[in-house]
Amino acid sequence: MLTWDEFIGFALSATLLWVGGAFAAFRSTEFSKKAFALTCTGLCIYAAFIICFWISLQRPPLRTQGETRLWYSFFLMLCGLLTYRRWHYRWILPLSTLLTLVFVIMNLMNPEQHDRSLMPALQSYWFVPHVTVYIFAYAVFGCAFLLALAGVIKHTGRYQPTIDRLTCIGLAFLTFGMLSGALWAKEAWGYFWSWDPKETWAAVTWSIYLLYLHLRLYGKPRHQKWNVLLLATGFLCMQMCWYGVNYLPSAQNSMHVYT
Amino acid sequence: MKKATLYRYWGTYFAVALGCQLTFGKCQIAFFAFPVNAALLLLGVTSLWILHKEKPQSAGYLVLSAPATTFLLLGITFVSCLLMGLGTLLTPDSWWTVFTLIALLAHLLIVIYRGMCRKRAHKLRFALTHIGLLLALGGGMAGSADTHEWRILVTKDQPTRQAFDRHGKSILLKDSMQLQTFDIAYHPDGTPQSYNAQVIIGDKSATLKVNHPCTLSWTDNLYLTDYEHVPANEQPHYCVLQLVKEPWKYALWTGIWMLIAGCVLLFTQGIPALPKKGGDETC
Repeated sequence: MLTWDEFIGFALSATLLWVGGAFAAFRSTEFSKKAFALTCTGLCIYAAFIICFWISLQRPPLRTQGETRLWYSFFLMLCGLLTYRRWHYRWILPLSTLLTLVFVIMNLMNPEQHDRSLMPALQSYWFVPHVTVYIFAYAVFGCAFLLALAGVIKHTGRYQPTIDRLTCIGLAFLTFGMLSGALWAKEAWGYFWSWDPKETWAAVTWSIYLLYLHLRLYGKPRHQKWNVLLLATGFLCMQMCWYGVNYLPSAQNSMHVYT
Repeated sequence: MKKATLYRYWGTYFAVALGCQLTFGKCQIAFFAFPVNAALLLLGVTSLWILHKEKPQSAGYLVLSAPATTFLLLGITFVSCLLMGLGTLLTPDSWWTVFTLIALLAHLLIVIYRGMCRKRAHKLRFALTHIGLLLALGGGMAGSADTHEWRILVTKDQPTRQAFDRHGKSILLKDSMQLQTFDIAYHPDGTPQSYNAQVIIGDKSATLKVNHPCTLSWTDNLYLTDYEHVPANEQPHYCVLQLVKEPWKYALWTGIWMLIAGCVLLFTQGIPALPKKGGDETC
């Protein structure tokens, strides 16, 4: 039986491969097959842990903050890899590896109790799509933010079309996550939307990315710094929606506090 | 239209919103119950259609249809939600929120009228996302006055018809309810794994469990919300049911699924293309 104690072994080997892939991508001026293969292998190892952990727990590992961090680090690396494969930006793999490492280290530093119990409210067919789609959207937005950051550091607008495409994909997933949550809430609590703190922060995140997309579509093409500011604010709001909201006094009565 | 003029219009509108907020406090949502909400919706939809067809050069139309209005209203929505999220005095039933939602709905409606009359790329996606959002927001806002919730304490001892709202006011239900059986299973750590209640409603029996409400009528759903917490070897003697009456849920449901379909298209088709500017009106 696989337990959380085995995570360190999987995390270390995956991380080493990701760091190797990041170096290979950064050193190469063109698309590096070596970087792609190393990152891909690291992802397979990480995915193997998630699958085995899922089987071992006999429930989807999506209940605790640590379990969502596990998915986020996996999806962030996956998004980084797909972006690298599609657009060949050598910056994206080092940056996504760095951000992924933060979440892997957080999981290693804060071991949690992972038991098989899943409260009745979470026993729904909406549970897996709602949470995984949300976390995937967060990872895509994280990737868009990293690219925007790289654009500012390098004083270039070259990444802007990719940032727009990523934000568009992230918004599609975020909207699906939010709406699947609304449909689930109707089945569980009787209301589609009840302005619970988590829902309110989801609306905050959604509205800022919606504003970004409309500004990019219908606004003036100048003001790149405004775009970066909006993406940075969106990224911060996303962090608040994911776990920051738990530290607010209003969250004590939230229906989204499960652990 | 000059931006200064546009901001003057919206400045006046939101000054009125702030004035209402400071003068009246919370909005009395109950005043807008059916048929007031339906009449206001019909009036809004019709008058904006007339504005779109007959006065497309009027200041009101230009203000409502300007891209700057989209940015402004989305910005205000973001700030309003942020203030609510930070737990400030702003609440969903405040006048400020009501004014913001009305402005958003009016703008959305004008954008839909204009967008559907123009030739544009990905028109289906545009229609699904925008009409879906309009139905979800409009259905939620207009329907909030007609949405009611009651709690019912259902015991094994005797049937009850009494239900209480959140203010403690009671009503009598059409059918009586009585708890027949309550089955509960526990995890090894003592936390509940699953539970369900067999309840007799009128002369019929229904099983209620979390995430599986019982449909009583086209407007009413019954939910299992709580039960008597007893030691693992005992069975609860009562449970608490929640009756939710929401006649507008179909508008919300339709809007949500339209938005989901629009999101699938947004993902598969990629970044939206800009609509052609002017001269392409087809209706």
